[in-house]
Amino acid sequence: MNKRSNPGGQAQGFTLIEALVAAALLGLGMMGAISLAMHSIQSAGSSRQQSTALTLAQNTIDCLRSGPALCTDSSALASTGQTQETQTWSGTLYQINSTLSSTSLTHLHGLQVTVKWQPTGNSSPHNPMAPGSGELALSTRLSSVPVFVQAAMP
Amino acid sequence: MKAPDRGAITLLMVTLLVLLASMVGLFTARSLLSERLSANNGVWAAQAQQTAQAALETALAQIEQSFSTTPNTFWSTHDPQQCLTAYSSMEWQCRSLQLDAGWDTQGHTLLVRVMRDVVNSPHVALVHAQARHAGNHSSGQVQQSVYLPTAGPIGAANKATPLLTQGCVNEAVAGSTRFCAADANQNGCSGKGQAIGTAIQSLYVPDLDGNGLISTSEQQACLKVNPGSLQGGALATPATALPAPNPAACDSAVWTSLFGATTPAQIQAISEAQALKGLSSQTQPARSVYWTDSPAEWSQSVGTTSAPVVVVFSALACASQCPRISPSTQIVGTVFMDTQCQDSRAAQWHSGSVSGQVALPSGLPNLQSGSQFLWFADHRKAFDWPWPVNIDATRVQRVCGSWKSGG
Repeated sequence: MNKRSNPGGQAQGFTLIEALVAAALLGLGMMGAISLAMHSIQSAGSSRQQSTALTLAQNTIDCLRSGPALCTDSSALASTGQTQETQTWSGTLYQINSTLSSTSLTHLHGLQVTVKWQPTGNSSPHNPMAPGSGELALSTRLSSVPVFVQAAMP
Repeated sequence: MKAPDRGAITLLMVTLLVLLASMVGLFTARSLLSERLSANNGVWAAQAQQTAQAALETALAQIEQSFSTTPNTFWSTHDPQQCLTAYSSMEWQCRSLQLDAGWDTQGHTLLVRVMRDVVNSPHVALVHAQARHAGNHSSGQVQQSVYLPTAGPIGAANKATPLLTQGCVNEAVAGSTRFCAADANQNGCSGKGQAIGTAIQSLYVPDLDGNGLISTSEQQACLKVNPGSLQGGALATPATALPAPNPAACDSAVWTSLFGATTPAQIQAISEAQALKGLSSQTQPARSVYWTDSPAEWSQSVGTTSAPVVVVFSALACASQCPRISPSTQIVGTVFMDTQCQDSRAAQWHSGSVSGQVALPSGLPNLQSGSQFLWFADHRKAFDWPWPVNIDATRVQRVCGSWKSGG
């Protein structure tokens, strides 16, 4: 059998190596991109959870500030000094704790609302109290100085 | 194209794709960072806002406590540094409020300012609270207006007379004084019509015959003023006999008919606040409340028909005899003399020229020549501050709908 020279043989070998290098580069790039995408999803979820927790905390304060007429929890808070409730939003469980404390002034109370939740990626989604949980606290005060509302004339 | 060239192009394309992916990743990361910062800022802003609200609530509770214990000392100072830009004109009295220290402000610096208009609404204060966090550059501010028990509603005017007494009146020289009752235009001696109202009203007339009724002759004997001085104005007295005013326990019927629920201490405190602000008849706005403890003759013309005043000669000023108003002096508004139900303290008094109403809880014997009492319907404007109907003016209350917030 005659050995024929193959001018393209060397070139074909190089193509394989190049393809491998390209695949490796592409793989590295994709790994970075996927890692970034994962991190992005987690970070976006975390931001969303934090925003939801903030809204829940503010709603709770507004509700308790409005008094028993609008917020049934306010009477329970006034009697026991503490309330606790849970809410689920977009698959995340939020635990809302409200604590009423007395101050040096008779008609003034301190109010702290703490919202805890399981951050995205945490393995125990039903235990917001687990280590590494997300937590957000808002503190304010409530005084009993009334609003003068003129009685409606008949 | 040769094979090696095809490989180089593949490599180039892959490199470009990786670069493109990196750029997309970079921009995504930047976007995420912004979102993260935005979320954090939202939390910091909410914490600052709630801390400012907590400061406001604390301030309201402290103000309520202050007014329940020492009501007339809260406004004894003025600090111009505490006036916000929109409230820097002369009528605004401002002060800061030091909050009680026993609470966690979460690293925020708090500033609470209290402001009020001492001329137009001394019974309403604007409370402004600000919380600032130096570390995360967040700040929150809230404000609320509150009614303060610095005055009270005065009620409807029911004694439309230029002179209101609780005893008898007579002239030193018959026909030498001038009384102008309300005319059809509700103003005295306007020249637009005859007097149709009351020139002098006394809440007490001695029942000389002891029959329990006040006759016309008893009325005229008590209010012994020449008809020429009355200029057609009527005299008004109770129809039945009432107990004589008791200097040992002088009642406040005249004061109440004029000032309603506003107490002498409140009028004095507002007068002092206006003096503290440097208000006078020459400033803009002009001073509207004058409380004087001085027995010296009053020679300052004050008040205009658009901005009437109230002048109160206190019991201290009237300790021996109430200060006269000098003959050339004109006062537009209300003059009250605290004679403590003793006619002698108002004897030989000169009124100058008062357009509005003069009121005193005693008689006014030997009224001096040239005294002029002219009715002016809006004489109570200086202390008729707007109060909502049925409000309990003795306690601090928030003004409905006045709450505002800002970042």
